Amino acid sequence: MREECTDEELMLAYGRGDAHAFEALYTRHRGTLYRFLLRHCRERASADELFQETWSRVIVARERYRPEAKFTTWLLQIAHNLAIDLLRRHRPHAGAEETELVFRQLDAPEAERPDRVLSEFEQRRRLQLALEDLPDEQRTAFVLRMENGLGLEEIAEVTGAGQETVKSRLRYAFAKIRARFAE
Amino acid sequence: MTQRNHHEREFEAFLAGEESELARLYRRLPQAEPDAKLDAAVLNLARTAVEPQRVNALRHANQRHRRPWWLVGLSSAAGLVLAAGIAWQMQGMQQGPAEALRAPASTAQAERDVIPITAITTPEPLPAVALPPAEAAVASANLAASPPATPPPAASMPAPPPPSPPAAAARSRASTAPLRRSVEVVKADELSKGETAEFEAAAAVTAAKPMPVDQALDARLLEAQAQSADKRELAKAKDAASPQQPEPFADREVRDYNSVERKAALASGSRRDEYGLNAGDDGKVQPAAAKPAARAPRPAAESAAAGAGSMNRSAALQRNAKLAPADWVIAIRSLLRDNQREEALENLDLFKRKHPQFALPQDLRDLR
Repeated sequence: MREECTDEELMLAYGRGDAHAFEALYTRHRGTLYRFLLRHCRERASADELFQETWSRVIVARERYRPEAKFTTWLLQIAHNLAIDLLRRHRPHAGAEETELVFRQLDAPEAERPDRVLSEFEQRRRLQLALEDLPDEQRTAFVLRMENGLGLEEIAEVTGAGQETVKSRLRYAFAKIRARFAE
Repeated sequence: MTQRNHHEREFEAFLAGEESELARLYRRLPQAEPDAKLDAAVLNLARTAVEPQRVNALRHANQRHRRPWWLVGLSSAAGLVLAAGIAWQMQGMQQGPAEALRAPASTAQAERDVIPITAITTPEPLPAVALPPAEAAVASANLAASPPATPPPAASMPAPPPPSPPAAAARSRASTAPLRRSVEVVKADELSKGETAEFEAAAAVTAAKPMPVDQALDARLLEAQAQSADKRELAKAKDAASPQQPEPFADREVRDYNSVERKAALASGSRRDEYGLNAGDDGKVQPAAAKPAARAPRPAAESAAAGAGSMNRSAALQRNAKLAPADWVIAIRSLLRDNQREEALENLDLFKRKHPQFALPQDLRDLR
């Protein structure tokens, strides 16, 4: 029953006090949101903080939600704004080496550790380093496109930029990543 | 140029979401997820946030189903009023059937208590008694003396009684208040109705049992004399009271008076004695002759002093007629001494008719 409802219906139900609707909605987007934040801020603690803060903003704004806005876009927009604020507070960012260490220790399963599968690890390591080297706007646009499957319009809506700007950011991000793999 | 076009196609495929080496490599990156503690914190926060809202929603739902206090009070008052109204109506309905149930019982009780009375039909007038020619002439002459407009009382209405004291008082006031007299006459008529019915019953018995010729003659004679005397007194009173009064009204007055007076006289015991009838203590009508002691003669002077009414005079005349001739002569002389010349003449006339062979003294023979 809950699985057949759209994100907007679940959010409206939760706005009326249905906690179970929120549980269904949380289950759908917990992973993608968390990874978006983790890609964005590059450390798990900040990702956890932003993750919890993002859902808190959703909970507080439950009664003001209107179905005209797509829930995924609204959710990522909140997360993006929080991530931007966090990045502004924590500059300079962590270095590439630190980021690589985090990925290596926390995210990779034991069977897929780079030392176990060198070629696969090398490829993901290069991708990870390429993402880290991207500017924040290009990385965000790229993650929203790859992680969350958003189109140009939705990325523009989440990030508050124009579609052509988003497309340009994506183009630059895509080119840098391809260049890293070509090395 | 070719490599640049190749990169452009890959970018378009990237934007279109087509499967590419980069997308496959990205999906192989570690799929980080929040841990269970973070999930619990977020879900707990979400539940806590909506708990007051849920409570409020339940409270609102309950309040929506809860009736306002004033509505409850108003409903209670309306219920009380309705119950009181129904009780009042039911009480009225219960009293109605109860009375309806009591009514037959009371009716039955009343039927047990009341002695059934059958309507008494108006008795036939006294049968005409065959009178001797001389007596009939006297009677017809007396009847002819009455006004022609006045119908015969015995034929049109019950026999008039002798004037009772109220009737006599009414007659004494007749000269000054004819209308009031009429009213009083009606009252006297109503008062004597009971006695009239008794007399009528007695008359019926009398009609069934023929009287002796002598008694019938006396009764007829006395009745005629009473009528003539009453009419004379009425004429006097009428002349003294209102000489200008129209004749028809006076005739009606006389007729009413005669009928009432006759009724009262007949209803009284004295006139019943005159008719030879009397009612015993047991209610049975007995002939007056069966009780001679009840009709003991009284002195004529006492009778003359009793009153000037025609009833008394007729009674006195009746009593004197029962006396021995010598005693009757003494009574006539007593009347003359008492300056009751008219009554004395009446007695003398009756004496001459009843005792034509008696030798009257010279002074009485010359009396006119």
